[in-house]
Amino acid sequence: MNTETNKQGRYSEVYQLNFGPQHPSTHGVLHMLVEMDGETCIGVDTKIGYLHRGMEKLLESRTYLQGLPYTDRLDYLAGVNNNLPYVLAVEKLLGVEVPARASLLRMLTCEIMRLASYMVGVGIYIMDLGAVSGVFYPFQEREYALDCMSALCGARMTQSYIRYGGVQADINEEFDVAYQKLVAETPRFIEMYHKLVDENEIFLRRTKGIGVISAEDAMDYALTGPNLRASGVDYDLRRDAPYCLYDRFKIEVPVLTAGDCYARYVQRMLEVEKIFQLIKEIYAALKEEPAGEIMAKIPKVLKPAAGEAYAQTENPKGIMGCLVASEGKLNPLRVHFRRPSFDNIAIFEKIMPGHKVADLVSIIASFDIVLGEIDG
Amino acid sequence: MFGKGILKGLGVTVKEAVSPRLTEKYPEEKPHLPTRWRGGMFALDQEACISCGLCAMACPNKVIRQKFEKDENNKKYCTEFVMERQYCLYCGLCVEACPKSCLHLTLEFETAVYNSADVPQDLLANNNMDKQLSTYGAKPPLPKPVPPRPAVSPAAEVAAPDLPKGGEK
Ligand code: SF4
Ligand code: SF4
Repeated sequence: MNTETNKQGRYSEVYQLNFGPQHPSTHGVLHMLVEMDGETCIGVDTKIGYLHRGMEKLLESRTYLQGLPYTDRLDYLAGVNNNLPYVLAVEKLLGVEVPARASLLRMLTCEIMRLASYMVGVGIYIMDLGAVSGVFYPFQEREYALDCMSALCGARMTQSYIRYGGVQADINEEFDVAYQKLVAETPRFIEMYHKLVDENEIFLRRTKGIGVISAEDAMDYALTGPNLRASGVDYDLRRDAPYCLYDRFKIEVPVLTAGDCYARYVQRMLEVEKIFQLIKEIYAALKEEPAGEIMAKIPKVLKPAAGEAYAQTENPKGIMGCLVASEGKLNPLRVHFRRPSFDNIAIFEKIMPGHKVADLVSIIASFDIVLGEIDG
Repeated sequence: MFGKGILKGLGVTVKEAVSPRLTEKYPEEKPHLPTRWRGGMFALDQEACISCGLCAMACPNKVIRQKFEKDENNKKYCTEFVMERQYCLYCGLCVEACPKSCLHLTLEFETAVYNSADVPQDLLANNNMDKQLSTYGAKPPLPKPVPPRPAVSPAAEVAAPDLPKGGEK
């Protein structure tokens, strides 16, 4: 143990600080055992599992359709986005072809919820740094997105809207009204939020140069999503390995190189603009698509052939993968999720040492983690 | 100048503070629920129910407690139909599974009760059909009548379930 005198020449013993699990800035129940030398962090041990619900085992003990509503509860800020990898993997096993309209609806809902998730991401980020009013405006904006979803499928957050072979329901007039509201409000919000946060000196001082991740480190630690792109790695599954009908659209992916906490905020705000653009494009494409089937013909009782399938999607937090192994029975033999937040926080141990406690809060908040996903 | 950004941000906050109120004044103002609302209570159209038990089979969390008996004509009827709402995920799979579209969700949201024993909903005692029903799971009207196919294999029959008519309410 390091018991030497510190920089100021004072004797200080290394001590351990329990950061979380009951701490508002740990986004739920993240627990970090921080080793401190005075006010400086010299080591971090991330402890997880406080929200563990045995999601994979729950899915394995239920039929395929019964398991679907549980996937919403992984990253509960973006329900439909979690349905998608599971459904895509099972569809690979079943070998079904999804109607184009259903694919467009899947993409539309995923992008709407991506927008909603980013709103929570930036809002909570700003709030964790002390600007409490900064959380209200994105949440207001998110409400418009959730209104769209509840008009479409009746649920605001745990939607389980995507089904094997298609989606649960087609858009209705109520959705159109909610959608128009979302479209009308988003540009105003983006402009307003930039004004509110971008030049705030306190925010800049607390985020610039904090928690810098180099592109190599980001790749070595398997970072994905906006956290990866903020470090200068240009990788987005929607463009680089398209699923659904993303190849029909031109996906613009902003990339920043700074890799610090500020870059992660700017990255999200830039992506919000692109997501909004994409939502409008997908909606226009959906309106052009002739009304028709939103479900492929699939058997009522799902018994995929024995085998394994893996599917991955670009979720708001990063790449979400799902492995499904089937024995040809009513329930899957094994389900495993690659949960982006879980992989993203591995880098904490590398980037946190050397920072002060307040900076740790910035770093956690800038990662936009969600514990439902980490603990599974 | 240090503080310029903060002042700019404060300007936004002030502007927003005097902008029209967005929150609803619950309980004076009731929230507007979408017609496909998934939540609240359940309602059962007892006459239409054929006691097939498919809803209970679809449920991921064993929320639906059913008991059946047979009458003198060997027809199944329900002697117990309780929704143990405390375990319910409000996934709506039961509503979707019902072949007769007789199980519904209602447009209610004030479902709090004083006693935990009041949470399970006995649908035979009170079928709740007088409430405003959610259109969740309502099967869209068939686009055009499908001509009957001469030979229907059992597999195809499973794949294309018999969709009852009737659009969204
Ligand atoms: S809504 Fe879902 S959890 Fe609730 S009773 Fe129906 S199937 Fe079961
Ligand atoms: S699925 Fe419908 S018809 Fe069958 S028992 Fe349930 S409510 Fe009755």
